[in-house]
Amino acid sequence: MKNLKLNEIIRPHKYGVVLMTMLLIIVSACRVTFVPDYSESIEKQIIATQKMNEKLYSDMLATAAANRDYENFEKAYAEIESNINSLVFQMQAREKNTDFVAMTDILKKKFIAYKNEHKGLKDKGKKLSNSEIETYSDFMKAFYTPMLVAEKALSRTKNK
Amino acid sequence: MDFNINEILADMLSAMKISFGEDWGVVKSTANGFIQSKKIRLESLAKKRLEGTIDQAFFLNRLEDEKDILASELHAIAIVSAVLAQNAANAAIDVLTDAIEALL
Repeated sequence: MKNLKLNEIIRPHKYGVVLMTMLLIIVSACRVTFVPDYSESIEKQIIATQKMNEKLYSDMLATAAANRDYENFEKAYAEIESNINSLVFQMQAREKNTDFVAMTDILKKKFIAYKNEHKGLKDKGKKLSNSEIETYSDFMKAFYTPMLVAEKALSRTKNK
Repeated sequence: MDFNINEILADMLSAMKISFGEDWGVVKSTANGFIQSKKIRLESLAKKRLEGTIDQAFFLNRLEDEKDILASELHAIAIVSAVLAQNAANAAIDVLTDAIEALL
């Protein structure tokens, strides 16, 4: 059986060129999108927020155990939480955002949980130990990393 | 109870490998990176518990947190995989577009 070629079918037709142009427009518009567009500003904000979070724990470690009450770090907690809320807002505004919204929601939930654990120590008459602070730092980093990995992956989308 | 971190992480990696099937090659390096970080984090956590510098409740809460970390990592892997699928699909569409353009 003879292989039929597209130009052999369409070109001889009276409106061949018009049909080909229409086909080109349709195919060109068919580019698929599974993920949101890469955002350099979001990538920078993830890095900046993680840095602030890291600094919070470094500052705690540099503070004498007796002075590690939640109240002494309340302002830093509020600033970081505000940055995380901004990330949640930006992720929600993106298209194809399901995975990014889920990761940011987890980050927010855990940040607040760790903040509340610190806050609750006062009622127990306890202070944060170095080991607890180091662990919070390790675990918070683990919540930021997937977000950064995913955002960096978006920069590898190929747009013609 | 025997708590062998290396064994657990190897089992996690195997489970992910089976679950991703043919896509495993695509996400392997990202998943390996996450597993390596998990190993360092869990070893540090276990060491602190053995030394008694964190209590049992704190230790168990952090183990529970690993579920959320894993969920977050799987979302990231889904995005890495989707980026590659998007690039592959659009490359194929570009070939078709170029072929039609050449005919005009």
